[in-house]
Amino acid sequence: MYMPHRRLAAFGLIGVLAGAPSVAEVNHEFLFFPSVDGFDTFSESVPSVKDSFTRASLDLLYGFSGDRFRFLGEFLLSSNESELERLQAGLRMGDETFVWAGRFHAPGKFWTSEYHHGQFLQTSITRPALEEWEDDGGTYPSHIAGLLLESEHQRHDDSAIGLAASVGLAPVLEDNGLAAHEIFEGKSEHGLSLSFRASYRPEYLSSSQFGILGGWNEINVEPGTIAVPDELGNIDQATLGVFTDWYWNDLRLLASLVYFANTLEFPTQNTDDNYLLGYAQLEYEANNVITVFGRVDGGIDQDDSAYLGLFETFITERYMLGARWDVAEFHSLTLEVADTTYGASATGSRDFNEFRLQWSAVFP
Amino acid sequence: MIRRRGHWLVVCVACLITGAGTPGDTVVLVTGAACPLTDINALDLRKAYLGVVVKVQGQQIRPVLMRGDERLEQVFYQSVVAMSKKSYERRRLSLTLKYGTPRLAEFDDVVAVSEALRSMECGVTYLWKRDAKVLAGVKTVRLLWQGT
Repeated sequence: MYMPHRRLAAFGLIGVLAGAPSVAEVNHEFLFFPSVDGFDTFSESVPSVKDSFTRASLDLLYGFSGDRFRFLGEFLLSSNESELERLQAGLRMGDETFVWAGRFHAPGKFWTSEYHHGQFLQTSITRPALEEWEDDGGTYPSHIAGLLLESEHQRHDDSAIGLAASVGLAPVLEDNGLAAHEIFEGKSEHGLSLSFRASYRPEYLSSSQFGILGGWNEINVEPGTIAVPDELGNIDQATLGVFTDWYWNDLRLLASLVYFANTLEFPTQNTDDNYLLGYAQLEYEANNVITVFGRVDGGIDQDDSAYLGLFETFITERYMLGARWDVAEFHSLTLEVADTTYGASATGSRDFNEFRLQWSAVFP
Repeated sequence: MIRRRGHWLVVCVACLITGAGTPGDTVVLVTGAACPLTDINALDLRKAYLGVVVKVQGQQIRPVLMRGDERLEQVFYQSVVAMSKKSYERRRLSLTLKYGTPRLAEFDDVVAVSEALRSMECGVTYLWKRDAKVLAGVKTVRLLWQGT
């Protein structure tokens, strides 16, 4: 199933570009999201986790918008990596409907679709483990190359229904975790990815919403990745979950629960592997500049998962508290402390306590 | 808006501090004289400023932000979008980050904004009535706020 998927994505991109009408009214947008993080453990040293580090990041966003045509590019430059995160061309099919082609973020991950790499816009420093990027130990796809439909429909009672669905190329599993498809990658051994999110907002102009999300991913395994006699061929991963982002005056709840049904395909037999992962983050806006928050990350049966056992540093539990100070209109300082457990029991789980401090901002 | 109560409190305090409620002051919504719009309701105006494509009488509304006058801005947050400045700015950033939605044009000079409105197809913005009255080529389509 390799080349046909790539062709599908390429034809989709060409189709969107070819369908773009002449641009009568154009806008260019640049946004810069810089941040600097400090991390320190205040417990015993644990394998695979640095005792302390500092990381600087700059997320660059460029958007081009015409009457019906849009283009969006997001590039992340940090002391750890530089990567073209999103590169997508879109065609407006209705007032609130777009079809995009390119590399985008999976619609079936709520936090990812809400904040992308814009660190300043998310209250906490860390992302929930469920929403982690592939190259930071994430265990299900964040980046898809293919086609994406995004649509929103306002109902007569002033509520709204949103839908986002994608078809494209899933990541592959390599030595150090999942590797997403690069848009200019010449050779592809990536499998099929389907992803969706449906949301409901009781008030069209409100930010409160809830909904369902899910997907199906064929995660191919690079040969030699797993050091077992019976080599793992590929992993079929089905997900179904719920999410909410809800405001009550100065309180806000962000939560998601996702059920995973994985099939690990070996030459002689298949292994089923099912578990639940989730998080709940509660935020309290004490005043216009101070927000305190806490989050619980966890799940059911995740400790015994054969699939999660392939990810050495995947966080299986975290209890986190933090505070954010908006020191100026577009600058913030945030600190977090957390009790973190990583690694499934198959490879041995470890605990450590962490402290983080971050400055984040947005320009212009 | 679920958060409206908290935001209104912030806006009201800000109004008291900045004196936005000076008796006799009036803020109006204006557009270019060539725009066929005769009125726009408060909900459609709010939607337009929150990034929704809004068409009234067959015309797409193109909202423009006025900056540089803190009292006028507070009236805008209170009477047009009904949210705090912080929430509004985060929402604008979020739309750009998520969908590439272009941010609204901004002006801090009434003469410059009147020129922009004349050249746009149904661009709208909010101005003190006393400023709107002396500008050529713009017309008032709605009363937004009146000091008591």
